[in-house]
Amino acid sequence: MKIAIDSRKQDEFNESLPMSSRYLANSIASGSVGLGLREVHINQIIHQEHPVPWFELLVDNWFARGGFVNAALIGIAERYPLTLHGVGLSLGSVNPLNWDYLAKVKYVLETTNACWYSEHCSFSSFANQQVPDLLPIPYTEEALNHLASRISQVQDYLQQPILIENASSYIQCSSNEMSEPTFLKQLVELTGCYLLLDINNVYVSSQNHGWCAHRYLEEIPNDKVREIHLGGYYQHHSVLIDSHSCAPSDSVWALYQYYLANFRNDVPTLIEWDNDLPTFSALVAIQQKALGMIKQAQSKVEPKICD
Amino acid sequence: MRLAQWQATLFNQIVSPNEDLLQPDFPGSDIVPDNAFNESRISIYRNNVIGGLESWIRNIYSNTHSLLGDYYFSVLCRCYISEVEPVAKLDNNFAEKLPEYIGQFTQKKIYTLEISAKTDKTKMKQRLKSLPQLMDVARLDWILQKSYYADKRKTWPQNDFLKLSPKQQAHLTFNLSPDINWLSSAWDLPSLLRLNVEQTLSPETDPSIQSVQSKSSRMFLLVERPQIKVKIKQVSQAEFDLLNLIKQNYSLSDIALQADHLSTFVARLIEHGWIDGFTPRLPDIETRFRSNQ
Repeated sequence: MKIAIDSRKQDEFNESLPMSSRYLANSIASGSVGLGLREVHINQIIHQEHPVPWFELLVDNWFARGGFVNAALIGIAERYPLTLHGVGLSLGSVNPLNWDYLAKVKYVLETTNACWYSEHCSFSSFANQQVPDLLPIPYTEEALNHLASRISQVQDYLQQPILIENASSYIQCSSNEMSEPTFLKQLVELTGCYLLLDINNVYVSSQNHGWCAHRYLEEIPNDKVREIHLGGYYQHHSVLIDSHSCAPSDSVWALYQYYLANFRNDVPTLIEWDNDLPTFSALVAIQQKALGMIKQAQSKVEPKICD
Repeated sequence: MRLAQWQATLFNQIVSPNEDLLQPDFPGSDIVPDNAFNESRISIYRNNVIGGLESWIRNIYSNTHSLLGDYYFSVLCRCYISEVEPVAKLDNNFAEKLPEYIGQFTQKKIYTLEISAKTDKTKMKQRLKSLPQLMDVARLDWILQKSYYADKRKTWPQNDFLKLSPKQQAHLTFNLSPDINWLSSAWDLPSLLRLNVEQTLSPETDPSIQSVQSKSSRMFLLVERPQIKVKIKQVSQAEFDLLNLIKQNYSLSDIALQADHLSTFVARLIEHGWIDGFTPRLPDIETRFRSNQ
């Protein structure tokens, strides 16, 4: 049995968003490039001139309701449009939804008036245990309905559609009943959620499982992609590991350019870098590189065909 | 494969790897393409998890990490994760027991068949013996991060307090501000870690505390975050003792009974913002009287 949320209701859902949220959602310019905000860069972000138009917060780090964290949160939100990205909700888990966690997300959403909140198509908790990693779920009807139900509950609670990101993976379930793009497509149809397309994750998973990355990009519902992530991976023997600890590789840049040229060049892009952080100016250089590619794609649209 | 079964299997393989993984009829064989291949793939998740937990602990215990160095801190974290909190609930209390674990480590007998692990642990034991102050450094690290992430403190409700009768005032219990934490140590931690410390009450500037100043060589430290920044303050033993009594829900009259001189410090604690509220409590005799009516 599928969840009774019709994708046609999505527009009505968007209409029901509070005015401030809709206003700010429009304030992230199409085809712009933002950066993941890290605490060590806050001073530079606030006090120096830079070309970064918006930032993404890893929401799990901003739950404190006092002190520096809260003051910085408010200060940044007053100056820049923000988006929220989470890793701790464990949407795909069979555990009950963590409402305490969601209440904290809602608090940050309301405090910052962030444009949207995104989470992953994965799970990280089971029974009374939780791991700091994003584990894959099987792509089955059962998992689809389970995840759709939870996304709907989250959207009802937050009173806005959320974005779901494709996670990178190193294993897949042999009982899969559909491909990852089909799973994501159905999830969007069932819940009215949007997609956060992580190009690096598409590349990593494709290499690890022998998928065609180009075909993957063709099969996802591109009209529902609301944000793109670009990050780095490292190679361990024959496996690519999503690490967010380096710049995007040449292959990932190439896949990004392919996406911009063939599908969408108006979606906001976010540069993700969480570990072994470089200087803020090094991140800005990557942000500018992505922006250059978007401008180039916008100036000439030449469709390419997947081989 | 059912979703719950998949999650149980995967969690089991990541968190508690076991020999069943190599048996073809193990439910995990559903993870493609084959077990030998799987094990190396699953070990990526296992490493991610351990690395993630280690990074979590490193963020909390930054001074402990600096003193121990990367290698030993990593060994310490891995031992702690495997022995104390394998993969527990990741909440604000994760890794709380690390200071205690450090304290016990040198007393532990090393049971492991794996030679590299045994070597690591033996080296670790020697390293910890050379840093006897490390347990207290870790305790300070813990309370520094507790204060950093604490909720905002409230304003002391003076008007509500004045509305109470003297009897009610004597029997209420005080609420401590969420950002304050304290510890005592035989080590001069601020000097060791080159941290700035403020003194709230010093015998030179405040003769009233000379009579109650500790004669021991212990240092009493309080960590607070009045507004934005976390601060470390050196406090008197009297303040330290009073904070402990308040934490144990002693009322003003209980405190006076326990140690009369301490009750005079309550107003100072309110002034510092360390007490930000109170909970009215009727004395037992009144409760009994009421229930008999």
